[in-house]
Amino acid sequence: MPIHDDDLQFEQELRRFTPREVAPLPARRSVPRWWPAVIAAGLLLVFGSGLLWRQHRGDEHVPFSKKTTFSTLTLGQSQAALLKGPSLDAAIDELERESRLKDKKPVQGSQTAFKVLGRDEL
Amino acid sequence: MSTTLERDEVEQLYRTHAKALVVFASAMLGNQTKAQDIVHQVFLRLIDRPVSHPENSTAYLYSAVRNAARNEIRSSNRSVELEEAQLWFTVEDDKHGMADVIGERSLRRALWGLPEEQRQIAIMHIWGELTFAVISQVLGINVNTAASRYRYALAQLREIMQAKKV
Repeated sequence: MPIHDDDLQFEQELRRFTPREVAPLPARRSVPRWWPAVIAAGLLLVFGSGLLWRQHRGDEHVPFSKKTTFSTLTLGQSQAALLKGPSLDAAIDELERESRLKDKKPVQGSQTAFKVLGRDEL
Repeated sequence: MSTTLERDEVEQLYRTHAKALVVFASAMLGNQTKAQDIVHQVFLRLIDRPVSHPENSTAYLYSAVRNAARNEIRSSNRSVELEEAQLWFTVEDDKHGMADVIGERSLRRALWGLPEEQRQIAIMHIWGELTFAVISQVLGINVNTAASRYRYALAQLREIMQAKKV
């Protein structure tokens, strides 16, 4: 298809329409609205995984016996506390106090309630 | 000379091409405001993440705006319609017959009525002053194809606009 003079003239007519002025280029890119949410989610993820990691590491280093407190309570002790104490609450308080004292120095050679229950003698 | 486009160069490119690029994007999106946003995004991206000097910066800019407009259309998930109230061209001269408000609206409608590729070619050639070689780079088509589609576009535009004049 050859270009006719008519085409060139029509092209010139069209060029009389000049594109509108545009706003100047903004100085800075506007921050997208979802950006703070992404930052918050990222921080949560970092803190959450850090917390989980610490917990996990802590579990690995603490021996099982140290994590449990019931190992220092024997059946005899609980029975004695119940007989001795004026009420159930008092017996529990007494057992708790004894348990705290025992936690400070390791118990040696005593039978734990856990072991006794495990023997099927009841 | 720096290997990447400096901010000054980007701003110079903006001053030279922004107006025609906005018409080009408007002709894809049907909306001049969105078109301006798209053009701003493209230039701001060039400032934020400088690219090495393109072989042809005009072709690069038109390709970038075209891709950004296409992404916008895809993400909005709506059919594109012409925003009638927004002008694409200035209306300043009443003496030239066509150059008036009605003429501007007719021109917009006539452009909008063209097949998409012909519309883009017409705008790039008439208002962007791109050669057919550069247009062929932007659209990834043969130079002769670009030239022939332009002529079809021009013929159709003339037909539509003269019909409106009658």
